[in-house]
Amino acid sequence: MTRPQRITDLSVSLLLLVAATVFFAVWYAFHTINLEQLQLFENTWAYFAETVSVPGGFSDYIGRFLTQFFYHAWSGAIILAVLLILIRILMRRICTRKDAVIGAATFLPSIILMMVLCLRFPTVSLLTAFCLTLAAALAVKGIRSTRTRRILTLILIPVLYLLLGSLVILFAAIVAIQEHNRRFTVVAVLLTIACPVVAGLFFPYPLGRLFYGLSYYKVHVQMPVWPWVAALAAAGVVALAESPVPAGNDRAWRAAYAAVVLIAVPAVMLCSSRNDEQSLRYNSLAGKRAWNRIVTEATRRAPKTYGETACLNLALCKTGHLGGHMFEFRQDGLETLLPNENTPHHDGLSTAEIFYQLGMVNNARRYCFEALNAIPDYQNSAPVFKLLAEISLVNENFEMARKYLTALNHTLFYRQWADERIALLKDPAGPFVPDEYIQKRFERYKGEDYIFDYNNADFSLRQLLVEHPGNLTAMNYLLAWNLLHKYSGEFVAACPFEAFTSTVPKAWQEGFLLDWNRSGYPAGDLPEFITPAIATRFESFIRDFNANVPLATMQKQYGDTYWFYYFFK
Amino acid sequence: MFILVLLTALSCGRGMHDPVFSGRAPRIFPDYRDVTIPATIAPLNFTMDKAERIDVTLTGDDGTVLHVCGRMARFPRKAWKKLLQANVGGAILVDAYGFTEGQWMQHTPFHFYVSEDAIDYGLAYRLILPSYEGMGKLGIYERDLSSYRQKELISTEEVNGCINCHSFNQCDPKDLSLHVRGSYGATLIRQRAELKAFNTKTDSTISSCVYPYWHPSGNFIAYSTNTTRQGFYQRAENILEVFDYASDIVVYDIRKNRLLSCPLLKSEGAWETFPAFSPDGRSLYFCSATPKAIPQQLNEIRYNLCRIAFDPESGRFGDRLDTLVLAAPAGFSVSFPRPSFDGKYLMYTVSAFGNFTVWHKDADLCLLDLATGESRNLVEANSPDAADSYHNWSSNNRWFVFGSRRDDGTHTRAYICHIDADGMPGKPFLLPQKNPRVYYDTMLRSFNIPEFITEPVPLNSHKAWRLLKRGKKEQFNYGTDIP
Repeated sequence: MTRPQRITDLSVSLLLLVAATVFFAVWYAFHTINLEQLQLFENTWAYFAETVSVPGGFSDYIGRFLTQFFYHAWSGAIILAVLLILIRILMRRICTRKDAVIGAATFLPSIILMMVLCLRFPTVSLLTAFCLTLAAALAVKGIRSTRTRRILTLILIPVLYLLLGSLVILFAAIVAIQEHNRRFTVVAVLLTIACPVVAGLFFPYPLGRLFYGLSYYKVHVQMPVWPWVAALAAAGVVALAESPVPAGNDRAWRAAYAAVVLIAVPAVMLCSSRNDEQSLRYNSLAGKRAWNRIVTEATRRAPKTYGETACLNLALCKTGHLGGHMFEFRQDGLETLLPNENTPHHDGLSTAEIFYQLGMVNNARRYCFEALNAIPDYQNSAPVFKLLAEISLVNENFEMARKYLTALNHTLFYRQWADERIALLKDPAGPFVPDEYIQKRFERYKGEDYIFDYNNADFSLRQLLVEHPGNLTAMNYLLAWNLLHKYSGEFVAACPFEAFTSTVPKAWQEGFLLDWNRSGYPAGDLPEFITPAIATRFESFIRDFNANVPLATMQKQYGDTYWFYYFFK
Repeated sequence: MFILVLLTALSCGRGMHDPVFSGRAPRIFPDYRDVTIPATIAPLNFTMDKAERIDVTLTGDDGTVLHVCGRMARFPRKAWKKLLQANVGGAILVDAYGFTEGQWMQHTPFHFYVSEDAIDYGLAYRLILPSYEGMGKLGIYERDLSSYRQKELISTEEVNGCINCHSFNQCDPKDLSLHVRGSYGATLIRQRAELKAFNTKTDSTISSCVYPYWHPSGNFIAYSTNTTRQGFYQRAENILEVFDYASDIVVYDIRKNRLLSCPLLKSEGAWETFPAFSPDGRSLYFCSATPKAIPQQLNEIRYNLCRIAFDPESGRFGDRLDTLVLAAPAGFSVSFPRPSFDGKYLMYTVSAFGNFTVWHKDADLCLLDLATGESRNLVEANSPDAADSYHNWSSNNRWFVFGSRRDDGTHTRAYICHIDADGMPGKPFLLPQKNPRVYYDTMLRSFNIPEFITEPVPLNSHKAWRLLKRGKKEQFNYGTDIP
């Protein structure tokens, strides 16, 4: 390579490194974090043994080990970027021809793998398997003796299948391409095909999955083709590097590098989903109880789905702004307040968090299990275990709490949190129990037991308030539920207007005004807690409503009011 | 031998010395104190609460001694097997010391009683999250009782759908019925040889067939058809309730591919469920309740234990019902009747109401003496404050396995219990594991419907999945009602 070629190659490599880091740390940060939230990596022998006991288990273990660092988006992004660059470097070193066109082509597998990482349920295991496969191919290439190389390859094929999974096909393909020996190729191919078939006799997985790779994508009923497109590209580039095609002129290599950059950017952007990222952001922040961040997020990018709005409503409630601001955001019925199992785009963990904050710990536990059940590759989840441990502590089921905390104690990033709570188990009624748990124990329902009925959730909320009148979350949710249900009479009956020491929240005033109006009371007799500005605006709304002002205009003028929700949603 | 002794001495290097007598039995996990065990069971390894190290000596009636020490009592398999074989019908004294806070404590010794009654090859069970709407990872597994080896038979890793209702014919896994729900759903039935997939829902039945029970001839399978829902309690003590809105009983005639029933088994005025054939095949036991409004009267739904005659030659049912346990007026409910295969007893679960007793903390096992008609609560096996349910007999009727939540209140674990010829149970023991503390702490799935098997289950999961995916399922036919 000439000096300009080397500089260009280094520049594109650095560009990939920086771009991937920034992409996964900023643009796609919550996808990165989400990968960590869908697993619970335990530093135990049992976890290691269980993980490596299936084909591809070793690379899966390494992948899971690295994924635990995705707890912080930046460290996750750096790991992903380094793995992508490492794959590119290995590709570069494997290729026999070192000219610039081949150099540019060796970026292709990394770019395709970056596209895979933009999907909803990718795994880091795919990248680690890719790296280790290429490393094995490179190591074999370094052996001078043809006989040793070939024998070692044939020995390594089943071994690598067990360690790294189906990407051993790529290993076999690379070695076969570089060996230029038809007989060896046939033997290597047959042996590679035999691996999953034989594995099928010992491992209880369908043949299709054993061929595809057990841990290359989290969802096994929906296996995207892209991981194998990346492998095909890698083999193709190695084959190209073996062919006697001329290296090309100055324009050719420049065009090749330009093409890499020009293809990579739109391809990755096309594969990424901002909507998914937003949903994951809301869910993740709700799981971390970052209420203020959710509210800030909503002011920048309004929630679009039921699940996102439900997270926002909880955040508004916890920051004391539910009554004041809820109708400034799109409300779509009861499920934007309390999602249920049939709600589209709801997340089990954030739904569990809502019920936990309300004091409905049984429902919270139910949705925690739903969240666990929803993890496509059946792993445990550290955030879900955290909430389950808290629920168990609140429920005074210390044996279950100990189990969840013990699992968390074996992790890197949740150990300290778990340690603090394990200490509580020694004296669960002692003075060191956090106020939050004591409060939740008070707020729990302790009356006569009954089956929760979603359609009558207001009954359950009222029961919570009977149990503990100071449960402000339940109070706010009861009021919001009645408003969203358009039960204005029940809303007025439930709302303690006179108890507010400061201004009654806007939505509560709007609900009161609507009920006042519908009950036929005179506007002049409004109670003092109704602020004049809201009363005036209501008069204006009624006037425009009666005048059949177009919907768009009404939305523009009154879209942030309960009245608009009541009449137009 | 010298090396073994040397290794033991080295491993117990900081050996037990100057113990203080605690005056109480050791607190061990699992609680294996004074349990009755079969001679072929895998080693009953255990840990001791709060003990940093333990030192355990087993002494058989015949004088054989087995000594282990370490963080847990982990018995070498060969030595354990030899010890048990040498003491069949006798007892093994367990002398356990624990090292806690710098002091060795000697505890009151206890016994393992080695029964002369053999136990079957293994268990088959479903492992499932204490699941709700979703199913997550679940599967049917088999476990060799003489070792810790567990084998996955079929799971959601392979089959895209909820797998449930596995049943074998009197512990013989060559006759199998297994239901899979979901888009590829079907009931897999194998009678001796060929595995077939069936669509068990007919126009005349209210749902697919569930809760199977094989006729001893292998020619019939009794099922119930249920409209089942679940609801979630509000108090922390209870978690959820599973209940039926309707249920009937049908019997599938395998040879003629037809479902049999009669008005008494699909009465409008009763919910019939949990069928079970008597070992002679001439009676069908089941539970029956008067329908109530749900959820308002949920805790008033009480099932009686009933019996109806069945003629396997003609496929006809008797024309009257016998009520063996009239539970409803007495304020309790019966579920899951399981007759012993010698026809002497029938074990069932009682709870305050309902039939899905696995979620009822008050659920207890009871034993009905079929000769006298008298029932007794199996207090020796039951736990005071956790569900004990889903029991099944061993093929020789001297053991039963059941699910209990006594461990942590949330996950069902498999307990095995000896029962003598007079119907007296011993103390049940938790299914042994190599490292029970780690296993049961990290196993956050429930052991569901444990059932004895006399040999490994001959089920090829690849074939089963192909069968389900192929989509061609034989249709159950509903025969005309045979009175």
